[in-house]
Amino acid sequence: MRKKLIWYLILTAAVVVINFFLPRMLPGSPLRTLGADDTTLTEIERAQIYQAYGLHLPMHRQFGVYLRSLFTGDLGVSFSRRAPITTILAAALPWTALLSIASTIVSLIAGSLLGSLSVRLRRRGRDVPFILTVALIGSFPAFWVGMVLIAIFGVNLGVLPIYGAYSMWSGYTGIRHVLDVLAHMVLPVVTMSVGSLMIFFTTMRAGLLSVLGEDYIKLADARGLSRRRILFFYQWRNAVIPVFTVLMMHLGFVISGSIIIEAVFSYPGLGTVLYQAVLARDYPLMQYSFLLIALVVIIANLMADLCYPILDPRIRKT
Amino acid sequence: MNKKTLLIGCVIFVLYIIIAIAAPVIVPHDPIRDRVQPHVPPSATHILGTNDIGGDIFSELLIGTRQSLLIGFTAAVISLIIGVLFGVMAGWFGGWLDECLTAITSLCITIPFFPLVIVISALVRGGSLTPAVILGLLSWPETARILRSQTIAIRERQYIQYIRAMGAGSYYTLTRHVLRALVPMAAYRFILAFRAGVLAETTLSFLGLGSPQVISWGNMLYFAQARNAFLTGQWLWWVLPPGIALMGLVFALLLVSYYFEQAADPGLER
Repeated sequence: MRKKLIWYLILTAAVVVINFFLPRMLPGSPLRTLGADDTTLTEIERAQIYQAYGLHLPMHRQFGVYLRSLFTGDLGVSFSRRAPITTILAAALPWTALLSIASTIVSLIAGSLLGSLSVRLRRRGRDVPFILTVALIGSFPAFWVGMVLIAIFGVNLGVLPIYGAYSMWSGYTGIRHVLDVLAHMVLPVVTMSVGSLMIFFTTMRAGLLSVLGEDYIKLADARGLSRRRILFFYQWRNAVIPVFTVLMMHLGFVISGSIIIEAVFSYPGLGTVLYQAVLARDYPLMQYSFLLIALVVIIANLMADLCYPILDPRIRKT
Repeated sequence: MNKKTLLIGCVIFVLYIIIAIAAPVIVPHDPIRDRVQPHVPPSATHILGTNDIGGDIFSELLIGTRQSLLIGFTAAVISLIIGVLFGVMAGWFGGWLDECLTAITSLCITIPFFPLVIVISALVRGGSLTPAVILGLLSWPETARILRSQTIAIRERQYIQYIRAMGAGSYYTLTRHVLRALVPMAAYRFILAFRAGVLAETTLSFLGLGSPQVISWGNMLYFAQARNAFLTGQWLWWVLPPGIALMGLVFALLLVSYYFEQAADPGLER
């Protein structure tokens, strides 16, 4: 366990270092050429830009400034949004968390149920068309599903909001506000779930099939228990572990995926912050939002590692 | 299921390749030079209408196949080369080399893939192959990890032990026997990387971070989104076709991958 924690510390340190060197080392990097490229700038303006980014300092001093900013939490001011970067990120993080958790739950439940259904259909040899249908749905690019859902439900039917996380200027409070937020979540969550449905479907199905030949399943069958009972009480308990592994590995994927989906729906989460920072060439904001996303993913992985022994007693013994 | 799905997948895939090769000849209009009235709904001359600058959408759709296949293929080749190199070396030689390579692989797996791709794409602006290089350089770790464990398993097999006992060197055993045994898994990972590359290229282009100078499905969707095509009826012929084309390609690759997945892991049941 201690080894695990040390590994995660190294991982965090590596991500912090990579985040620092990435924009400074890449060829044609804008941080380096920010002032030098533009011939319309005067010497003084160029010096001011370098001063603002701390680029006039030698590399090791720049790294020191970077580290200090991380520890004090004072990340400077975003020039594209004219607000402190820390405030922007703190406001965005909960929305991404909300979207990621909700879509993970939806795709977990839907994928697991479909996976179980395909195993039940297998006995009657009718599972192939079923699997292919799920695979077909999973082959659509997620952002495209979002665009089509916007066109159908948002514009043509006009039943669901298509923009942002809540109605601005509405002044909703209490339960109206909660309902408003929920309504804004529906389309992004459905879109994200379609993208991750396949993973849970495949894992659940493989997990259920892997224990089919086991003695205790045969025994349960011999005792005359119903198929449904065997499936839900005996096979499921074993399929849960791989599904949980995938769930945790999936968190990184979900947060990655939320960037694109948030961009499509202009949802005010971390993904939108990162994307708009990229569009506005606001490199400090881009760098720090990337760092935050990476750290969230590392923490999710750490939590997964800590949860395994609780879920699977076989690991505890070794 | 497998023989049939492989056949269907291959037929669809070959169809895409034929379209990609023949596209410049069979397009009804030159999508770059032929400009007519913009935002024209579908008609006999323009099967899918025209876009915001008066280009024929159907012709763009055909030409876009090239970029998807090119980027997917290149990214998969880069990803496979690095993955095989890292995975086989770590699995075969073991020791400190294994520990180093495994640590690098684990580190790269943990860094969230797509945010990193976005950041690097924003920093490095290049030609039409740049997205492929970025995607290839970032997507190898999973392949390396799987090939490493397979190499370790193969190393312990009896016939490899016999060959080594007879005095065969590392290089001979690796190139003549181990790599050969890894082919089904490598093929499976290649197809998965191809599929992921195709999807990621379209997503990048859709975000405006791909290659702006080429015609691709992602760029088509980017302009459709930027011109608010889904607020009008235009989305039916501007947004739907590129997505469905992409889905067909991704689905075909998935079908082919099922076959190789089973070849790589015969115990697996589908």
